[in-house]
Amino acid sequence: MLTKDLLRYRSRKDRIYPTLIKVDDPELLALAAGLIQTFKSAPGSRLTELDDEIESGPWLNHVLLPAFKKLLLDRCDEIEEDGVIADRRTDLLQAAEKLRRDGDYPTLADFHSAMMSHIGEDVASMQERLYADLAEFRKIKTFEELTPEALLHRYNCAQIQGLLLVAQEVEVRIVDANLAEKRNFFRCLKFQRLLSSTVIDESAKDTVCKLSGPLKIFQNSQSYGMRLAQFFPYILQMPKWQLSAEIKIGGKVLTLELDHRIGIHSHYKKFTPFVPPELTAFISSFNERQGPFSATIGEEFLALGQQSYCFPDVTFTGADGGKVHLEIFHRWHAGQLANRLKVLATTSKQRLVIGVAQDVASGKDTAPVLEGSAWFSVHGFIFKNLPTPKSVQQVLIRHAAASAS
Amino acid sequence: MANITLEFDSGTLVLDGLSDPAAGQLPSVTWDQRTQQWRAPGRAYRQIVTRCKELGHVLIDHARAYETLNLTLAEPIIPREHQTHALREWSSAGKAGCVALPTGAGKTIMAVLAIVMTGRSTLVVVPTIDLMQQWEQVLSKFLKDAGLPCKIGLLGGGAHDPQPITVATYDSALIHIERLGNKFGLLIFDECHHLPAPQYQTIAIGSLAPFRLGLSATMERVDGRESVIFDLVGPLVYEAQIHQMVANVLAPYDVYSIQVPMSDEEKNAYQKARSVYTDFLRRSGIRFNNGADWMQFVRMAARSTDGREAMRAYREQKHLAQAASGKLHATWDILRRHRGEQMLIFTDDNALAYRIGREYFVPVLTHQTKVKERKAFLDGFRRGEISVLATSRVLNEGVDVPEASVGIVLSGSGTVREHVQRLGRILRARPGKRAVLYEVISQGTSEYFVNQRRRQHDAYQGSSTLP
Repeated sequence: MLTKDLLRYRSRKDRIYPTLIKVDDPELLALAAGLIQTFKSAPGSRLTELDDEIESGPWLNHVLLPAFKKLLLDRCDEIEEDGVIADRRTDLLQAAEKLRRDGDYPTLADFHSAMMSHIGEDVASMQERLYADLAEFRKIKTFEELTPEALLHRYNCAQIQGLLLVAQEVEVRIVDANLAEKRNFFRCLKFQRLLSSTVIDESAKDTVCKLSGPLKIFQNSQSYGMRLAQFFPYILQMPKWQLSAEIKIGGKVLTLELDHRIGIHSHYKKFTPFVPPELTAFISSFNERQGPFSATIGEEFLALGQQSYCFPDVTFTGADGGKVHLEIFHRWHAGQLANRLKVLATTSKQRLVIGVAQDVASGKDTAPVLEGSAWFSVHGFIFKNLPTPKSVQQVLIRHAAASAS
Repeated sequence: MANITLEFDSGTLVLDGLSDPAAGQLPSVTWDQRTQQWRAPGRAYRQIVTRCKELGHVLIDHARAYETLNLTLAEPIIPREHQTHALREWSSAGKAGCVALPTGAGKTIMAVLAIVMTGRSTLVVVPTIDLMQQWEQVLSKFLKDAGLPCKIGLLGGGAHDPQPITVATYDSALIHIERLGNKFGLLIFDECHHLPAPQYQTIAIGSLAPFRLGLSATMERVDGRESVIFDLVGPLVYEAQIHQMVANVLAPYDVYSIQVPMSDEEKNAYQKARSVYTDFLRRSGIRFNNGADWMQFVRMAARSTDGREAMRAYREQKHLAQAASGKLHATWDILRRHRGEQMLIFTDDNALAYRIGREYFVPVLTHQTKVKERKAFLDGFRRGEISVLATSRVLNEGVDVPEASVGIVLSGSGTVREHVQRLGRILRARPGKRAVLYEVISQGTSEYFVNQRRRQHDAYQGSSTLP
């Protein structure tokens, strides 16, 4: 990310506008390419040598140089020192300490002469190696390459992240995202330990989230700014989005408004949705039975309350168009089951049924939870390897009867 | 009467089983629209529990995860009068309050007694890794839990080992408070003047510790936000100034300001750089009346070639004044004058500290110094094997170097706080000790005016001279 002094923005009235660059600007692409080339040959050099090389380039006074340099330095790893310099330092310091104690040297030059005689090395050389393991003298080990265009995108992203660092709350509207993209969005939200008040705008099929942290309602500071900034690249992965944030900067509160048209590519690895073939096989088999419901891959998500989001695996549509969703719990996300049942027991009626794998259901922690759940006894079922169409139809019937009553 | 379940959730308290009217009777409780739950900040725990008891509510407390400990002293401590007094006042204030004592007056020992008196899991929050290690040593030495040596946990500087008694840096405490905020009943903020920083406040807000102690040599802040400390920790219950403790608790001292002329070359370069910088300020209408003006300068400087030139000029004139060659010669004279004594050389930045290190071949202690070497330098200094230690700012706060009797300030931020802290480093009392602090300033530069302003502080009164 970029430090405050590297942020470029304008403010007018109560709005703030980050100064973004054109990612196809030939001059900027050339600058990025030149710098990346310099960094590519940096492994093995000291940071001071890299600095000298950058400062001798034709771009020395370019306004974007410090920011590009910072972003590229963030992609470098340094070589750890092996302690040899520290050992030599101890020897030199001990010798100097002894000389100062034992003799009185009227001038610094006299002291330096005494050091030269004692160690048998010229002063400049001793001075050079004394603190040669400081950060600026460390050697670069690796540089994670990127394309010039990616650096320009990264710069634009970092400009916005720099502003979000001082945001108190961010409102995001996600438009036209599929279920897998939304699932990834909320998974990452949880990973960043952010809270969201989520409203699903049925008319526009949009999801509107206000993102902040648990303490936000008590503390008007930017405590969650870092997390909001780190979350921003996930927003960039949504197909269409709008963002609005209050930015506290320079003693003023300014509004930042952006949407997907800024065209920044996220530098985070993109999640690729995966539908297990077994699930596709189940859906085919279920639909072949031609019962009162037809099955499709889960197509919407449910906000159950208390920051609990459910992304059903299968959606069933009845003859009247009503929908019921199935969430399947296997071993790898069994940990969420107890909390899911707790939330479902306290929230209003949901169009949801749950299937739990036998090995999960018989676990010593899970078995008593399932036994004690009145909700599960009606809306849940246990399966061996995969749910069977028959067992699912039975639970759908139980669910319909319970919903009707 | 209600059955209320209390849970800790990432620095907050979630209350279940509350009706609207019942929630209205509890302090700091708010309806959280996001999660559809009643929520309060962690810090409200004490008041909520007390109020629930008063109202006769049944409280199922799943929030509290701190322990009651059977703490005793591993070796006796005979508190000095001011420590007894401070402890008594803190206890009378419900074990929630701040104590201001000069460096060397025994804040850490007073805190050890407070921990034993409270008998709860304790988190001590400190600003630096050096202080973290120092606290660990003191707490390990004095505390016993259920008759056994007390293992002290550490958070920070690469360590992550929370224990019932833990020392953490402010930065690490901030990172972990959402998970650990319910695991400590007593919170001690060392150098608590750091607490009003917006991020650090979260440590106090997100923790449910009912007992709190803030320690500092001086609560005063340039921005006047000491009221935030009192709000988050508790009121100032005891305060003593340096001059009240000199002779009884602290060593007597002298402060000398030495003005050194710059060379003609340095003077010309200084004036040239300063005029570039001040011209830009004038043209941009920046007056430096408060901290926001500095940020305005930083922003404006980044936006134009002129601005970047002004920023470079600002750094250059500051560097020239702080690192004038005359200072190096003056410092050599001081080192000779006090040969055999333990001396600390303070600078404002690492560059000058390392320059001093290279010129005099002395150990340099900065945030870049690795933990092992840092410990070796401090131990060597305490044992008298190292007589001169150069440092930038890491020794400003708290680190105990009782043997130091001479301080040489080559450059600094110019604040009264920094001056008092640096002075405090050399004031630990020892029979026959008289401490000396030298401030070496470049003649005819802004350093002179900063020095004059600082001399108005109480710590200078009656003891400073200009040779």
